[in-house]
Amino acid sequence: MKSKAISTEDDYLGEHHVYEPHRVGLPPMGPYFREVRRRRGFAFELARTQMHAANTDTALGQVWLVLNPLLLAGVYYLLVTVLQHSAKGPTIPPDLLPKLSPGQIANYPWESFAHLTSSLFLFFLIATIIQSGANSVIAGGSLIMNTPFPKMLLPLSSSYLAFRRYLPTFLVYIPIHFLARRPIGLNLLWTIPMVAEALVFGFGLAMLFGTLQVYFRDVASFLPYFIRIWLYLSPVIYYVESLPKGLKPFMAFNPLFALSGGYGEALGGHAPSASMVLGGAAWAIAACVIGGLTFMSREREFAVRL
Amino acid sequence: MSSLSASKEVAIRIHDVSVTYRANLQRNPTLKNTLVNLGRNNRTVREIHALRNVSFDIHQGQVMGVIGANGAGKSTLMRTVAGILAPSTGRIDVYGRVSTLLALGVGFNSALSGKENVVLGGLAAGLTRKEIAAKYDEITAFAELGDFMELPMKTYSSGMFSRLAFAVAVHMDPDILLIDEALSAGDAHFKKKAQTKMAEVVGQAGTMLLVSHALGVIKEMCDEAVWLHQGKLIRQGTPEEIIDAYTHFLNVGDDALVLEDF
Repeated sequence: MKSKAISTEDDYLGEHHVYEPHRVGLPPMGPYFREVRRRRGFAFELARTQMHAANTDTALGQVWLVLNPLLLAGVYYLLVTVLQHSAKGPTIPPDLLPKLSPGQIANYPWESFAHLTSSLFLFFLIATIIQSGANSVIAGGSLIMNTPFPKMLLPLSSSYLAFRRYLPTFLVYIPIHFLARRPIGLNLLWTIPMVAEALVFGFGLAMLFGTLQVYFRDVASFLPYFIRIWLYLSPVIYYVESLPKGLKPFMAFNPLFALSGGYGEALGGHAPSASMVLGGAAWAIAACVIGGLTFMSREREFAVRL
Repeated sequence: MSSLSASKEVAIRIHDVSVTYRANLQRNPTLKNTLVNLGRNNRTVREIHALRNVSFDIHQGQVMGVIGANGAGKSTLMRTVAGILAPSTGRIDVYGRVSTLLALGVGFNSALSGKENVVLGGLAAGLTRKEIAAKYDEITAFAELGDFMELPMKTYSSGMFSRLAFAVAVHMDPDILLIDEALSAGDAHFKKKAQTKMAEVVGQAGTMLLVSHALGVIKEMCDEAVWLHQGKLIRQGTPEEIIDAYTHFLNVGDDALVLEDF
């Protein structure tokens, strides 16, 4: 039992290790996180080599990373425009009007495209973290079977990889921001905490689904459907402001409402409302705690399940 | 319970260890199958007793050989000592830094060059970048891969692959080296060299637990051996004794040595 584990030293490489039976339970937190910290280089190197192996660190590989979400943004833009806009041109949601500058209103097609691309890129970041995180434990199977290490490094590595792949898309957004005449100012810096919240939130779900995938190998196959539905339920391809009033209370149950909403507000040049920032932080912490505890309490069983 | 000073001499203490796990009989454990089988009371798991009440000590500087038929629990024993699998009952104390060579090229990515894989493999095993950089030349010299270090590992022959994996494992300055059938790849020249290197590791107050079907290697390298059969420790003693008992059990007499290297 973990209470009997008297090993005060490093659980993985130190001088004295004690291995005793344990039921599902948490490993000693202190040594665990020390070891995660000490071995973080491995997680980053694993992500880096995966990028290298997938040629994503070459020029054309980077172009594809950018082109792929951009094309998707184009597709969604067409879809939304065709569905929403009358022949006279786009109709601006009335609630949105006060938040737009005259330049943005004059350039509304670009403004809505800027909103769509930026929100989609953030959504893809979270979706990629979850999907690759779900597969990370199984993919690291041979490593788990042959080396003792804190398994949290695997979803950490896949999350970092997803983030690295997201970075170039940010560069693509910059010219669109200018074309949409979106304001430039210090409020744009709010995107940093909002992206950080999205990363932590995604990492938490990556750990949760990574654990589930060990027990049920079809979880990762359900995920794309789940994620697609989630996309339609989130203010990604539409503005928060264009939602019918009656639906808004339900949005509190969607983490992406706060995460993507706050991010969108920041990019629109406004300081995101406290409910978005704090709501996003609450979702991120909740996901990370639930995912992390699930993962850590189960990870010592992974070796027999693989 | 155990104080460090009292067990100074012991490198690994295995006390009454059993490992039981439930093997899932489903081809692939899926949510769909679980839901479909819910309430049908189909038994889809079977208990496997991989180790049953195994106890023995390994002292510092000792090379312990582990022999036994397939399914005897040798690999389970290695993984339990390495801390990869938890024992179901009993207790294992390990004093020292452990390096494992249980399967070849773990943590390697075959799309990457040998050089990148040395870094990745070293980091996977818990070394720092600095330590890897300091040992890199030694590792490449030992693996004798020359220009191949710059090429993707998918261009390597299996012998080259295992040479590099072995080189990384033995250059980690382990106190305790766990080796599972690592010498079966590699050519005669490399085997000789690998044996010399392992003897060197042991010479530096290192301890080794070696699983091998090549009884000659056990006889040559080990100063003690255990024989496992169906999870039980059948016998512990000098390699000669154990190999005699084992080959007698196999009922093939002296022909056993012919089995070597397969």
